[in-house]
Amino acid sequence: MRAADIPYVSAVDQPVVLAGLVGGEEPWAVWPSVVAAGAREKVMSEIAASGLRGRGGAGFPVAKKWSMTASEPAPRYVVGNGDEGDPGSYGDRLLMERDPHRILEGLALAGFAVGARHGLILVRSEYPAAADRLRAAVVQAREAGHLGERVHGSPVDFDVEIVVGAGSYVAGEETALLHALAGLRAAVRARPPYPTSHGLLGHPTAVNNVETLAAVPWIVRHGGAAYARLGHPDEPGTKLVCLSQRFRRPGVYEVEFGVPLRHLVEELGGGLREPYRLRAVQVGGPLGGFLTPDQLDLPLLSEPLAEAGAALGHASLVAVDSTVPAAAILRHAWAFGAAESCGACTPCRVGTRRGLELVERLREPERAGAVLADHEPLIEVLTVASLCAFGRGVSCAVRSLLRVYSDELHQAALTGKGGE
Amino acid sequence: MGEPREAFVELQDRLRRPGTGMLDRLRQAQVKDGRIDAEDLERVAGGFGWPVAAVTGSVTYYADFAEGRRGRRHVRVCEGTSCFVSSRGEHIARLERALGVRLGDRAADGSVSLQGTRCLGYCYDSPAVLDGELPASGETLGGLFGDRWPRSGGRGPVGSSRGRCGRPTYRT
Repeated sequence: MRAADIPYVSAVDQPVVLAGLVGGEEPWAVWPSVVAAGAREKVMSEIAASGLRGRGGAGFPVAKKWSMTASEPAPRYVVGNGDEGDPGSYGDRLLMERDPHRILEGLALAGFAVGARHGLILVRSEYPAAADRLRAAVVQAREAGHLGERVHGSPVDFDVEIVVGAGSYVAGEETALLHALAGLRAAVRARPPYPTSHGLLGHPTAVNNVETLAAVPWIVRHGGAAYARLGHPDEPGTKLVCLSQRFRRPGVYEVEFGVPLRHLVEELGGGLREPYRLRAVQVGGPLGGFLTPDQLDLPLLSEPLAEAGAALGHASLVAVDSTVPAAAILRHAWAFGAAESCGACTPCRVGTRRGLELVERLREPERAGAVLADHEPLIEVLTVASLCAFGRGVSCAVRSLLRVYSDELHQAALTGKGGE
Repeated sequence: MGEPREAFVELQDRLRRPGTGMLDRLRQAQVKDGRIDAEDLERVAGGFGWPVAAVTGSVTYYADFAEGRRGRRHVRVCEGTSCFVSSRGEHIARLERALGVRLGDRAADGSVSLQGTRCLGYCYDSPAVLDGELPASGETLGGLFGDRWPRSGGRGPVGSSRGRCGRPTYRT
């Protein structure tokens, strides 16, 4: 074995998303009875009662998305988003590789709720094992009678297709994802219309992250109220959080919403491995933001984190130690934006490249001060005028980075070291 | 303002043939000689009933197709944030030396190619690579090139890829 297996722990009393991996709950435990009984309303009402929101980063209420899709004319589709592109996140990979049937059962329940006969999951090409496991799981599920025509003696037909992407971060955005599924350029389009009315091939489509789908069987089995009791009143339920290599105990942790980040960093993660010292934590991937160690009392909740300039996103925590120079991490952030912008809108396409040009000039001592000043209007344009969350997110992440590393960057500008 | 129209999406709906098999079909075309050429584009487009422009759009968009010709051995190296923090790009420079090919390039004899990607999802054991479909992770990349890496300044064909500050260059 040349690659280490993903370490994972459920830090909640009742594992939900990790119910199969640590809780001993077999997949496909609810689907046969639910579909045979035609209990569509039960699925919808339990999901509504749970307060489940999309776990991919946008946090849209799942029940509302499903209701909107179900109210549109057939044919309808349900789509699982397995395009886990956020550097720092690998919780979806864990689920797709190690518990693919739970995702399929969640997708089947979603399809049943919205009245779709076809489900699709897009898996990124960087995750070949995940695609293999999901495709094998689809075959097994057909053989077991969970998928196909007249499932479990019901009048319901439902089948799933696994589609492998071809290398695009932006394909994780839902309109881009639908283009990728159709084999087209994974460029974003303006919303509205939303995929709930204009999705795959222009038909109503409910797009859910695979982590979201993996929670659905547990909620239908144990009830929405049981799920709603977990987490925080403002944001019920659990979340997979991924800790990066610099932590003493990296891995995937299932935690309840509302826990302080310090609990994740210091107790679950064990702080940083020797000899490193924590300088910043990147929360929520490249569209999230950077926090200083003294901000770790913030709770794992979307709003407080957004107010602190670090969107929760897919909830990865990447520890940045004090040996990484400010300019290097700033260049890394802009380089990601420039490489992965889909190019559909000018502010993002040009702005991310402009950001990369700016940071390269940090090497020129006499221009470093101007470079930092020039960041502000550029960030403003990206934040206000970008078509989708990518441009807005990259700029917000850079803004937080400039704040966290303000002293180092300005000192570097003054001393002419360019932050290196 | 009316609803936006998407010609290539509407075409698939009219043909009643979703393009969900397109990316796999393009991968098959790429396997043959490491690239997708004009003949491939016409053949694939014809098979799906698409204009060549639609297929060309996909091929020039996705990193797996657009980022140069692939070698018989294709290695993807992670440029994600955790890999960056853990090695500051040193793992990429070392891979370049070990494979004898620069990031984003293919060896002249077609034996190997090296593609950067964000990210491979091994952030708990950074850095990471995919050698074909075989993952390797950790400081020595699971011993993929032996327990010891080629050292900096060695005789590898890309030994000159060090930046002016004495650090390995990191593609930006």
